[in-house]
Amino acid sequence: MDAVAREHVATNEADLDELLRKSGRGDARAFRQLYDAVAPRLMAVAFRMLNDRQQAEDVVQETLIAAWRSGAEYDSRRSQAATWLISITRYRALDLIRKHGRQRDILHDGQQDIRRVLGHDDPEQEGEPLAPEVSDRLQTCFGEISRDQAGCIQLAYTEGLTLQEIALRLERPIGTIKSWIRRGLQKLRECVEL
Amino acid sequence: MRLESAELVELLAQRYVVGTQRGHARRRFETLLEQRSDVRRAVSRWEERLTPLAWSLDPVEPSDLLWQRIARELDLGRPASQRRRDSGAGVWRGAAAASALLAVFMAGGWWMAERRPPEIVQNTVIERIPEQVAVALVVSDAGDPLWLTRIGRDSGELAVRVVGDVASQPANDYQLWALTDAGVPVSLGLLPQSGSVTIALDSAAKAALERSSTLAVSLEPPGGSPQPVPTGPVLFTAALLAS
Repeated sequence: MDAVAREHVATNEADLDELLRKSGRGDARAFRQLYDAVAPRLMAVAFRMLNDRQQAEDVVQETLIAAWRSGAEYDSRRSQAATWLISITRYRALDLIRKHGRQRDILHDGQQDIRRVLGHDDPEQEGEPLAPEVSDRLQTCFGEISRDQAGCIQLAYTEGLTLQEIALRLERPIGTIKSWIRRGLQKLRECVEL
Repeated sequence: MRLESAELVELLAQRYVVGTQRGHARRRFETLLEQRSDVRRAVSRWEERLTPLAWSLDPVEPSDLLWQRIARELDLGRPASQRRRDSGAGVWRGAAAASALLAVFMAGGWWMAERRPPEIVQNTVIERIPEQVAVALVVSDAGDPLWLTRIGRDSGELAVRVVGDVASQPANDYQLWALTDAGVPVSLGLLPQSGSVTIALDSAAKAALERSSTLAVSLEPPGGSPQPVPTGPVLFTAALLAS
């Protein structure tokens, strides 16, 4: 596991791991603690992707029920609890988007935000920093890739946009978007593995 | 899909995790995920690298109803010893649960596949079998039904019927397992790749089913696993429901 991946929830990583394992063993109290710790984070992920509170809550419900039912098998040597939970949430949200479409205007919703990320509103702007919870290393690495690359990665990963949707929103050719994401991720990988 | 290059594996894993791989390509890749540990490891690495981006989003408080819904679904209001594992409202409900929990496998469940044989990489826990007949519908990752199984508790017979597009595996057999509450797999027999079969369950299988609420399907050498546990990848799980 990348060191950077371990850092980002270092403050409560062990707690989350333990809560997840206990939940899986049927400890309802631990499960409630796990819920309190992660539900708002998972809601943020699902809501950002789906832009629909009810659908987001459905996804978080499924994720946490999966945690209750499968948490006993969780092994922190293979995956962080946060990664495990976030991944379930994201894939389920992507699944919903695929099946039912998206409850948002992908052309305009959040456009100002992303233009700010990309630095298009203000050439002097360095781009919107990542939230402070993001590990220093990942933040550093994002600083080393272009704003275009970073912005596209975030649109795809945190908002669940397709290449075509990103291209439409940014008014750039799809090939360009694809290239930005691929090169950005490659650089990111090299950076975090240093 | 031929996927021999490590660089290609890396690229596809990237796209899968970021989410830009969609449609049939995504489903084909998910098939590879079930089969290849190197693909699973590549996906896990990208999940770990990028999780901070999602974890760092401004938290959004769920409504109070969310916890109530979860608690009701899991019967958390009762003591653990009296807690039902699911309401078991019907076979299609089970299919939905299996589909939802496929995400566990697709998401962070890789460690389960690599940590221990047998490769029990998915898990769905539903109610024990209180009725005379229990059914389970095995569905694909896309939610399409594959096999419908019907177990007669008194007759001791397992009837299996192919109900969808089961991928032909001429060099392998699909094997059905009961997963006991303790997580121990017990073979129920080989699944047909077309048509239907009826299998007379042995005493071990019957006993396992009394303590099981989940079936699993693994891909095994012809004739089934040479060991009393799955030796190949577990491809699907299905909730066992009272009918």
